[in-house]
Amino acid sequence: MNKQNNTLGYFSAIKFLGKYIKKHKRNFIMFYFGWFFDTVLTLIMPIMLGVMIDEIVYYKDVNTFLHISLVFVVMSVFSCILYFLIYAQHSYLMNMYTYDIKNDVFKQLMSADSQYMSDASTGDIINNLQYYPSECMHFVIRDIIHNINGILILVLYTVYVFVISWQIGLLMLVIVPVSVIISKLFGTKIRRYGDKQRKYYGIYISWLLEMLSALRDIRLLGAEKKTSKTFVHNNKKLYDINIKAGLSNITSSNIITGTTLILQLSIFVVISYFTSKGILSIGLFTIIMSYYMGMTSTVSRLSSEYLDMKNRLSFFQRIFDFLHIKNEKIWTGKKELQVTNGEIHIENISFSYKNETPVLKDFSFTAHAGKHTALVGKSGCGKTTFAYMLIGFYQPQIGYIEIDGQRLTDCSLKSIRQNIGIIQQDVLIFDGSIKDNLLLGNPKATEEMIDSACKRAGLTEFLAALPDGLETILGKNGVGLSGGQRQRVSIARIYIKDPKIIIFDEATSSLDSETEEQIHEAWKKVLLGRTSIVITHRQSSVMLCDYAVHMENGQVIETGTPQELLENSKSFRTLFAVKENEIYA
Amino acid sequence: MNNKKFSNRYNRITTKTPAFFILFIFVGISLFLYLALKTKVDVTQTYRGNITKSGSIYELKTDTNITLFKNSGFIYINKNAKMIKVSIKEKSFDIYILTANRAMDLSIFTGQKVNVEVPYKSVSLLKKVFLQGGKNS
Repeated sequence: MNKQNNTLGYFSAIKFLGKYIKKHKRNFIMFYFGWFFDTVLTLIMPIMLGVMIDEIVYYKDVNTFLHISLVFVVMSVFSCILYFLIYAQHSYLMNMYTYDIKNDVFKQLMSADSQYMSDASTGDIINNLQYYPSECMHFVIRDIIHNINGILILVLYTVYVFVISWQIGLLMLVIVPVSVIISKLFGTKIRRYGDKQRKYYGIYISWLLEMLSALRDIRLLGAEKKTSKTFVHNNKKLYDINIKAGLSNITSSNIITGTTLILQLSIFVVISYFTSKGILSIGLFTIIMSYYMGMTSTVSRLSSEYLDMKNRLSFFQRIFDFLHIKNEKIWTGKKELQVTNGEIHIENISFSYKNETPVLKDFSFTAHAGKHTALVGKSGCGKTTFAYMLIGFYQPQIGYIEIDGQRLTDCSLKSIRQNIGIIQQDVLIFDGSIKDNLLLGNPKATEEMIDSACKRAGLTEFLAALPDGLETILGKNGVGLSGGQRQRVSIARIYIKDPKIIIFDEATSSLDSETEEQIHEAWKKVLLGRTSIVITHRQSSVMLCDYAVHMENGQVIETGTPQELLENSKSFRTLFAVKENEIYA
Repeated sequence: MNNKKFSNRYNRITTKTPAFFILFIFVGISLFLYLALKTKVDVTQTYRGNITKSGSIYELKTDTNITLFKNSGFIYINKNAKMIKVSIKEKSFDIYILTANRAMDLSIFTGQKVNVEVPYKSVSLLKKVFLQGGKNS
């Protein structure tokens, strides 16, 4: 995984989010100006109220009082409608802005480096898609727009308090820096706990998802007790982290509130003294008190936003890192792969994950055009890694793969995947109609192509038994499919996609012998005229092939026809646990 | 169908097109400026002086000459304790004749150093709010 190790600061976070802001800049400008006018109103309303109080309390001037009241009421109504418009913008931006980020995250997910995807936790990926984009929006709205206005109003409050009384102004000036320093001190601590909390939560969710998908297996294996123990352990750990993070958050907030309260009391004493001596009128007293309340709530909001901002930075870090991981866009091949015969030549390829022990080492063989080659060997010998390499998930670190004389790395991923089909043990069936599922590899396929594919894959009988035929809904809310039926759907997809080369990766491993035999019949038809590589642990599947390549520790140890290897190689026989007297049977 | 049309139009007006938003802000600011400029508020100047009683007339002697704008003002020692409205007429350079609605009100200030708050001009509410921060002078 090629992560950017730079920690995002505020400005780099703003720069990163800026490209999404640009897309909706008109709405952001309206939203900002809405809040700006609200800020101006927040500033002038207490002054108007103060003037009204003085006019009626001291000068008994009802006429002026009513005039100012009219302005006050008109501005209050304006403020209410303004709020409505601001929140309408907020709702629009909240949806559109997160939509853009989610789109980018999803695109990245679709092209992310295979190595990253195999290492990444599902919880983290879900958070990147669902939770963190909303936090990005909160950062823009709360931590940028609100904070700019917060700082602006703080400055204006201070200026006006100075205009009214410089002594009180000076005193208030002390409060702001003290609160900011305290917020800064506790911010770093909170971010550290926030990071830890999220990291572990991601791990926990991944584990939970795995457990939920394997619930039946857990029961079958009688592993309920062990799983429950792990669940309790994980929850306890999460609980401990949550408690620590929560305590740290509460302590920090309380220290900030406590300090502000002490400073608040000192301000009250001074204002009360000035008023009792007649230096301040009741109107001015009201203005200063209202400004003071405004200042403390703004400082307190800025402090808590500062703490949240620290937290949110770690969210962006994750989205930022995810959007910058190595993806398939770095695949340099641009040529269109033209498969005429379908000969695959593998020349001395070596590959290792994360510079560990090589999975494939000096791996060479040729899969002849139109022939079927079985790839056999113990689990972990590199068979699936090679299959993934053939469809461009990985690139060989040494050596090369050629298809009909064209280097795979020179060809575009799209053309490679168009020409190579893969049938795996786990067939992807999503919630949707059978037809939708069949069209996954070729959405432009015609009705005739679908009918013909279903017929050749042996699905006709099954479809005829369904009330809605091809339109029958599959998945959690629809009909379930057996292992054999899934394999047939997979074969039908191959017919519809019509690739020249097919890889079978442990496709029949989970099927019983009878179903496997039926699937083999379907295979024979689909394999006609196509080059295939069959990765299998089943002797019956190997025997369908023209050649067999026996692998061990990422290397080819022997090749030949399956019959030859069965007769001459002990290790090959051991692989399928074949008894000596069964060879010639 | 009509509901859908209405909701689309409503959505467009409130969020997508800036015209309504800009118009609203423009109308709001214009209305505020108009009202705040039209509303006049007195600005006062405070003087120090002594009140004496000569017969039934209360006289105010100030340290400096008062600029009279409305021939009225307010007398107080502590503004927040008691403040009364008086009519002020200039008698000579720094002596003024004071008349209150109730003559009794002035008697409590007799022989004492007082503050006299006198309006000296009218300003718009806009100026008083934005430039003076609500202060009277």
